[in-house]
This record gives sequence, C-alpha cells and structure tokens, in this order.
Amino acid sequence: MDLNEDLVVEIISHLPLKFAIQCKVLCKNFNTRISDPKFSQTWLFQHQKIISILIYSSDRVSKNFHKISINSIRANHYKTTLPVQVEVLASCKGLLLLNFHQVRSFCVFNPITGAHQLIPHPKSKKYKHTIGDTGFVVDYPTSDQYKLVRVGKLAKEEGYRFQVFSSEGSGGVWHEFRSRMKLKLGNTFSYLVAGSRPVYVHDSLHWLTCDRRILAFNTKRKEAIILNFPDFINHTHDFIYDKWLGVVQVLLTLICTFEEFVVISAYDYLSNNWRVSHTVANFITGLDGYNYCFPVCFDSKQVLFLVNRILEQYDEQYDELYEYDSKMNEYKIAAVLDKGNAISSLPYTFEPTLASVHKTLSDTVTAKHLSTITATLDEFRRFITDS
Amino acid sequence: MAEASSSITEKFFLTLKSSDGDEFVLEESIAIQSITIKNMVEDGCSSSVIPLSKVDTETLIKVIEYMKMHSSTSSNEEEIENFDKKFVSNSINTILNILEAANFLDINNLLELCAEAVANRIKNKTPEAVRKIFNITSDFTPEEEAEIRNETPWAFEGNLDHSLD
Repeated sequence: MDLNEDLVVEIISHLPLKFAIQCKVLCKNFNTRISDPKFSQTWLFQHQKIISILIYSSDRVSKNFHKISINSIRANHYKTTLPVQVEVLASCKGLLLLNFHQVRSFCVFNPITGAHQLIPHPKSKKYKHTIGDTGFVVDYPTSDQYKLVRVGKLAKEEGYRFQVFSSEGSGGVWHEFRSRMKLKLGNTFSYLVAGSRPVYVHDSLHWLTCDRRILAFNTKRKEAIILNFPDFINHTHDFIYDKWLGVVQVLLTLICTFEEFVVISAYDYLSNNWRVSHTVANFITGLDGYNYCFPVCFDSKQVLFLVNRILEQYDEQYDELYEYDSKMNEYKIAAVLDKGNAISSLPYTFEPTLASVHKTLSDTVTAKHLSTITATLDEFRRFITDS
Repeated sequence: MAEASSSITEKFFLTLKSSDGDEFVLEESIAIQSITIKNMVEDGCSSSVIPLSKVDTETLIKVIEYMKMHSSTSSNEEEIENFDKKFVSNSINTILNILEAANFLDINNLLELCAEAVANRIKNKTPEAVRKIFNITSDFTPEEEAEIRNETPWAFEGNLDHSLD
C-alpha cells in the first residue's frame, strides 16, 4: 500500500538500530531521512537511549577518553583506553573527525553505526604552513556530504590558504582556495588562536584570530571574510585565551570572561551585529586569577561550562559542570566530576545520528595498520554506545 | 461551544460516516479521543454527520472498537492490555490502514500502537520485502546500494525473512 512517508519514518523509528540502518537502502529519500539528526533524536527517544554526551581526553597522548551523559546530567562517567593514540579533531552532527598520526590519516567516523572513512593528509610541501585546527563540516540535509578544511598562511603572510577535502565526487582530492588580505579581507594577517576550535554554522567555519577577530570561511562559496568582535570588548587590556566560539540555537556564539562578568553573545549574520544574550556574574575565574574553563555548546541547549578547580595544596584538581538557571540568571553546579580524571583539553559534544560515511578508498593504508585502526574504532564505538 | 461544555454531564452522540457511506453512532466522550473530531466538535461542525472520507468501513469499525475499549469509564488496565495484544495480531495491511486512520484522526496512542506493531512485524524482513510492503521503488543503482551496505556490513548480516506478512 502507499503509506504517507512520515508514517513509514515513524514505523522505522520503532525498529531496533540494526533494522533502522537497513532501511537506508529502501530508496534515496529514506536514506536521507534516516541519516538526519531529527530521525536519530526520535529514535533515541523511542528507545530511551542517550541523546547527548560530552567526550574528552584526560591525557596528552589521547588514549584515555571519558564521557558524560548530558540529557540527565550524571557525575559518574565512563572511561576507555584505546589501543593506539587517536586525536579527536571535531564533532559535527553525529560524525567525529579523528586523526591517526602514525598513518598520517584523518578518519571520519560515525560511532553509532561504526561507518568510517580514512582520508590521507594532503600531500603538500605547504603542509608546514598549516595554522590552526582542522575544521569539519557535515552538510545537512544531504547527510553523506562532509568537508574537511585546513587553514594555512600564504607566503609573506599575504593571507590565508584553505585546503578543502569534499566527500562529493572528487575521488579523494584536496582542493586549495586562497584569500588575500589586502585585496579581499581588508585587514592585516593574523595567526589563529592556538587550541581554539573552529565552529561550523551559517555555511561557514569560524576560527578565532590572535588580533581579536574571527576568520570565517564559507564552505559553499569557498570565500573567506573577517568578522569583528563586539564593540563592548575592550581591546586595550585584553587577553585572548578567555574567549571561545560555539554554536547555540543555530547562532555563532562568542563567550568571554571579564573580571566580574561572563558575557555570552550571538552574531546575527543578517544585520552583521553582535547581540548580548546573557551577562552573568563571573563564576569561572579562580582565586589565583586564572581561568581553567571549557565552555560546552550543544546546539539545542544553553552553554554549559566545565570549570577546572585546583585545590589550595595544588596536589588535587577536579571539574565542576555548570548549567544555566534562567530564573536566577546565574550558573549553578550541575555535577562534580571525579577527581583524578581532570579534563586536559576542550571536550567535544556529541549528539548521535545515523549519518552515512563513505568507504575508504583502496590503498589508503596498509592491511597491518588497518587492523589496528579498526580495533581502535571498535573500542571507541563500544565506549560511546555502552551505557 | 455550549454543546461541548455541557457534554460532561449529559450524553451526546455523534454520527461518523465512513468512505463507503456507512454511518456509526458513537458517544461524543468516546469519539473525542480523536483530536480531529474533538476540534470539529469544539468548532461546532458536529451537529450533522461527520464524514470521514479517508477511512473505510472495515477500518472505522476497528478504530471505534479501540476507542470504546480505551475510553476511561469502561475498562481496566489488564483488559486494555489484552485487547491491544489481540488488536495488533490483525494482518499487516489492516494495521497499516488503521495506522493511516489514526494519523488522520489524530489518535496518538493508536498511532504509536500500530507503528510499534508494524515495526515488530517487519524487523526481520529483507529490504526487498519491506519495499513491497510499503510499495517503495528503489532509485538506487546496484552500486549505490552496495556502497550503503558496505558502510555498515554488520547491519546487513544474518538470515532475513522474505515473506510479506
């Protein structure tokens, strides 16, 4: 019989994971709908599974990973040690971007379905000119299309180069696009803030630059622009490492700490203006004046904060997770995390989807490496899906 | 509006007409489990016969059976549970018809019950069988389909059922 498509999707959302994934082959339309974040949210709700989690690494070698469930914030968390070192570079719409250093390869990975694609680093002499972290873009509604973007500087610091890998068609080729400062961007060149993670919203990846601006690269038009910080940020005595970018409710969001306040503002692409969404008392800065803070942005929620506290004796540290209380307009502790598992780098937010990942092209890595990588990914998958 | 509010104390009856032209008289308090009918009653469109052009007689009988059993006054939990179990043992096509009617009439519990039941029935079936049940034509080339299967080989392992019911 001809059933309304929404009803078939409703039925599929009641299927166990394995059979829901099988339904991707029914036809193109269902493949798209099942891969969409909306479907996985319905599916996860029907099956009472985790909806969003935080993943972070507690060591510099990136073998130990932890996760915290966010739908009902629980302080007890899960830990794993992976067979080989793997770096998480980005998380976007249910896909993780990993980096396997020893085989010089990126890996796009869906930890729910296990699907993964290895993408060799671009073979370029200009590799050493790379600045900043690699950006990762998953383009909905075409769920199986993703892009990797690396930023580099042009010779004589004339501007930026962008190396883009697209999952569409090209057969595993990186393309390069250039943006010169004087001709197009109207600013002087600036390096990107180390450790500041690119965020994707409004078709563009955004990086913080050291001269207190934002470099935005539109991955559809392959063009770069520079966004200025909001006017209220006093440029004279200003520190760049207490500012972070995120995405909240589909808006580019800038989080800044001042002596007395934490200010969260959102960028409106239509009017090219910043709008302050929250100003709250500074709950982050410790008595020593330092911030050890990791803002956590889930698109559907307000910003959460993980704040690293060091006890007076400096021999012990722990993390507190803060949640926004809209009634009181303040941040309150939602959970205190285990001591001894202190967060050492920005955590990643992960919201599961059944997004597709293309197959690795042959000859990317040797069989020997492949088996270690597969074992690592299997362990990662078990770690994320087990509850 | 006056009619709707007084129905709490007095019994009102509605006439539902199937797409085959058969008429069924039903207590308003039972019929308004359907949000679609409830809205019609509240808008004052229920004084005459309510035509349900998308629901045939066979399906409407089932839906009314369900609504009677699930109306708050008449049945206990165990009875309802047994009724639901038996209800979903109908043929898959009958359940799909009821599912469509539940969607049109906006009866959420019935929709969930049918969706879950259909999911249970199709969960071991091959994609080919599922396509036939829902009358879906694949627009994938064999290569494209193979690529999706290769992405997550574990999801396509095991013995599957080719039957259509």
